[in-house]
Amino acid sequence: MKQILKIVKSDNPIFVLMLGLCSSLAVTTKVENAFLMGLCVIIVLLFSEIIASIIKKLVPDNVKIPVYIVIIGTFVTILEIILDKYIHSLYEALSIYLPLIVVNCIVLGRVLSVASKSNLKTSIKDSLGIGLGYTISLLAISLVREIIGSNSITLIDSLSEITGFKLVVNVFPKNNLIPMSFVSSPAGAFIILGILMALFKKVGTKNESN
Amino acid sequence: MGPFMRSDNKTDKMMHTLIIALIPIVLFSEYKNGIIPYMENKTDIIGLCYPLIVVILGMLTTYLTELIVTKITKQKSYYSYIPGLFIALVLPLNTPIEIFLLACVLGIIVGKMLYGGFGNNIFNPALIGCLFVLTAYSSIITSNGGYLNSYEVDAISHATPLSNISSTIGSYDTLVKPYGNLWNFFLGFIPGAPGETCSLLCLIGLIYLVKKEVIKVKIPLTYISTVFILTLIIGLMNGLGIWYPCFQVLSGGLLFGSIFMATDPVTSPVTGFGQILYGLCLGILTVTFRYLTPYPEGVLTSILIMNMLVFILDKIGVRNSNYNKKKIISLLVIFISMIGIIFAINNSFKKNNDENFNIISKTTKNNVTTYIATQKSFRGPIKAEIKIKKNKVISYEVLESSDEYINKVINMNYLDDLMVDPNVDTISGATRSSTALKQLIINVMKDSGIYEE
Amino acid sequence: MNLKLEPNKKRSLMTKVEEIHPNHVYFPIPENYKVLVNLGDEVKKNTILATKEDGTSIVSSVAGKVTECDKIIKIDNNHSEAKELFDVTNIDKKKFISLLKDSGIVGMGGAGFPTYKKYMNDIDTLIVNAVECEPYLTADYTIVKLHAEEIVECLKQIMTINNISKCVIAVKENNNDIDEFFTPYLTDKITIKKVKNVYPAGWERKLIKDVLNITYDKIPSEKNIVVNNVSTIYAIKRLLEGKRLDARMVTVTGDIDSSNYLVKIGTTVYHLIRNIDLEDKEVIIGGPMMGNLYKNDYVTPTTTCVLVLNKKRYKELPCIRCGKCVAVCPVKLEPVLIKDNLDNPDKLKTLNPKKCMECGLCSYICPSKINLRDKVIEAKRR
Repeated sequence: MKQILKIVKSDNPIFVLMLGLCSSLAVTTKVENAFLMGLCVIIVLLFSEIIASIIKKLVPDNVKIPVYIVIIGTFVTILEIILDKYIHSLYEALSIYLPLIVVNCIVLGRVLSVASKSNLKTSIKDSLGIGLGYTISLLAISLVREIIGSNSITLIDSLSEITGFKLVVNVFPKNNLIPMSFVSSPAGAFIILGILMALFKKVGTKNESN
Repeated sequence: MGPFMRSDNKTDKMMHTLIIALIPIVLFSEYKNGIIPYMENKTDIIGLCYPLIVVILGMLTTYLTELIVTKITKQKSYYSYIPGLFIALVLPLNTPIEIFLLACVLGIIVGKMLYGGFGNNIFNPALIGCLFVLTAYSSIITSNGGYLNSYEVDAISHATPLSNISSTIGSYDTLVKPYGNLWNFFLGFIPGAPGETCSLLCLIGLIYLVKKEVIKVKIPLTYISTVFILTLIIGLMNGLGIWYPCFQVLSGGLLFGSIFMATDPVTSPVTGFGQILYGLCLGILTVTFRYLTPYPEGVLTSILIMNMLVFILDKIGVRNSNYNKKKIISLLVIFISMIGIIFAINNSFKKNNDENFNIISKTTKNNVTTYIATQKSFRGPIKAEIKIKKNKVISYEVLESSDEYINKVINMNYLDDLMVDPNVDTISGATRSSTALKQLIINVMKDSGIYEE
Repeated sequence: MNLKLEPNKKRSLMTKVEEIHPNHVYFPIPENYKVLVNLGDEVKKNTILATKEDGTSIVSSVAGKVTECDKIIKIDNNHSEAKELFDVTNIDKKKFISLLKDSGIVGMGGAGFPTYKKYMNDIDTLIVNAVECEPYLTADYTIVKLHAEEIVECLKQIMTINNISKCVIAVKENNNDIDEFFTPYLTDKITIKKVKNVYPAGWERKLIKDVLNITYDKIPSEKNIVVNNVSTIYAIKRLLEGKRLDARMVTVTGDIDSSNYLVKIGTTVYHLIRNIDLEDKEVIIGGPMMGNLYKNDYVTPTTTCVLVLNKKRYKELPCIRCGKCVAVCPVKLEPVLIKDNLDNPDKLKTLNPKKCMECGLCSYICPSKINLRDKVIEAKRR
């Protein structure tokens, strides 16, 4: 457990490794989308790393990359089909960024560098750590963006097909200052990402010096 | 140990000279936006002092922000009240007060402190704050009244002079007449931001700053002459007289922006030739923004874009062995881009005119020519049928429209007035729709050759 | 842009010139010089103390006994003014050059370039630099006031020896009517030209451009031109009469009672300022723009002025990039960009700081009182 948390802090894919930023900027407009995207990545990463770690001895070196892409693509497609059938509104909300998990640098990078070289237990811990870090970072960014940008927190909107109700929280009473529509745009996403990255690094170094 | 004789120049004196040059503009904005509405009983005591309150509040906010940030990061703060003064003079007076304060705080933090404090910033901090607020909160500002103060909101129907310009070239009647004559533009009694309207005081400020040798004088001179010459050529190519470049130069905050904001010493080029190129590029960018994009005033964004490129201009301006080669190549590039911009603008006018008016069918039977034509209007095209017999319009009927104002206009017998004389005034309260109907019949008459000015 | 500096010259113009005869004189011996005298020798005026193959010799300015002979030769003055004689008859160009080499005469405007080297090529035009553009200095003015006729006579002699066709005396426009001292003696070959009152008008390159409208690449001899300071010309006149360089005019001025002194070469500067109250003042050797702080110096042929000014401290503010230093530099450099790129050798190469002539105008004009000249000098070293 401790090792998983360590990976969350030191190998955080968004704030430290800075991989997969494109889809992270696009899905963080709503808290719920961010959380569910993170869950999808955890699922895909977990299963891909398990399979890759199991078959690592059978894969020759020069066809490594296509083999792993096929594995990742399989799981992404399975996830896509399941989501399309059962939670169609989430499928619409994540639109193109769901298939893009296949070439998301986080997944491919970790499978290549960690899962193909270590045993099953390490791979599972690594995948859980990375996925958890990714989800937490996305949650942080989307919280800030949604509160400042549209003055609400969307907890259950697309999942209403399963749960049957919606839960959208309005944060501030009516005023002129917030919402700032600029933050909901991609430019604002970059700025919020940068500020959170700076804070993350500052808190991280302070802990280390202590 | 260095020279033992130093000149009398001092940075403190230069900054104080700048503030002295801005004092008449602050007083004029108080007179126009505070005293005149109060005299007309359109506002209360708070509205009387509001322009001055805004200026003082802006300067205080930026001073306090920089003080707090420098205490945390252990830098030193210099001249932090000057961006506040500029923000107060550039933002519209109807900005809600919390948004104005946000502009001041963000301008100082993002525009100055993040780059390393005074002397190290790349962008003009006042413009960063203004741009952020004008893009993020533009809807709130326009719903509060935009650039019009409380006196003008009843008297004038358009937002600012330059918002009329985007689709067609306009004419003296549409651009200048609604605000009086060009003399009003010069003296400053037109709607606009508090500091930007009075051209006379800006020019007096320029002469004062040149006399005290505080300003990089090449920048405003090249900037204003470039805009003047480019709009002169565009005007001449479309048959407008000398009033047109004068109108362009005197409106849109060009004089204020070029004299006080573009010449900010920290963010403008340091070499002589770099300053000339800066002015030229600023002129080209402003003209492009005014004609080819929906932003009404090009000055703010063009200054910020050129601030990014100042380091290239300084590289070009270094007077080493290939200085002459660099000069010739850069001036050639500027010249070619100027010609390109002029042609692009002219093409956009032609395209707009084509899209606006379209003849669907034209049939002639028994000396009666029947036109069915469309004209672009407020929310969609209007389709109408016009019959012409013996060089006179005998019938004008609207077939299709997606615009509820059309019926209001038709109920006022506007179409009958148009059939008699197409040069009647448009109806206020339904300006765009009545303009469209008017333009439709004028274009049809032009096509059949019976239109007289 | 053209910059006029406050001249501050009137203080020292009207005083009578006092002659200084010290009890001891000192001659620092630079590298590569061969010393020709020994400890205890009796020397006279005009005795050569040290020589160098490609430089001007060092000559004794007094008669007396050598009491120290290490890195600095110290001579105790016996005030007899006894002279050693040498041949000054039948001077042609070759003899003129060898006389100059042994005379101890270097550029007396402050540059210190060995004068004989300038005369080694063919010469068309001789320009006499009586501009004296640095503020406070009046040494050249005093020489002209006292010896204008002799200077013009000497010029005629130099022109005959070296086959020079034209001579122009350059003076500054508003320098207290210095040209009137010359007007009675001018001929058709020796004319006067007034240059504008800007600093640095006495700079060789600018002077040749203003007077003759000629630009050169590295040295003026490329275009057969020689520029000499007017004090150097007066020293050459004395040389042609058999007197090697023994004294020069020095202005002692500043925020004190000012005057000009005719000082023996080798006098300590302390001797000149020993009666002045130096509380809260600093002493500068040379002019205010290009001079250096006093550090126990001796009067050399290039010491034009001893300046005593009230100490001023300037608070340095951050650079506001106003561009005044770029506009004012006479060599067309960009001091502000050099200051920002001191750690960047590639960028420094394009900015070319080696052209700097250290005139000090960039530091003079900076509103934030940043010492830009020091930064450019440091860039020269990198």
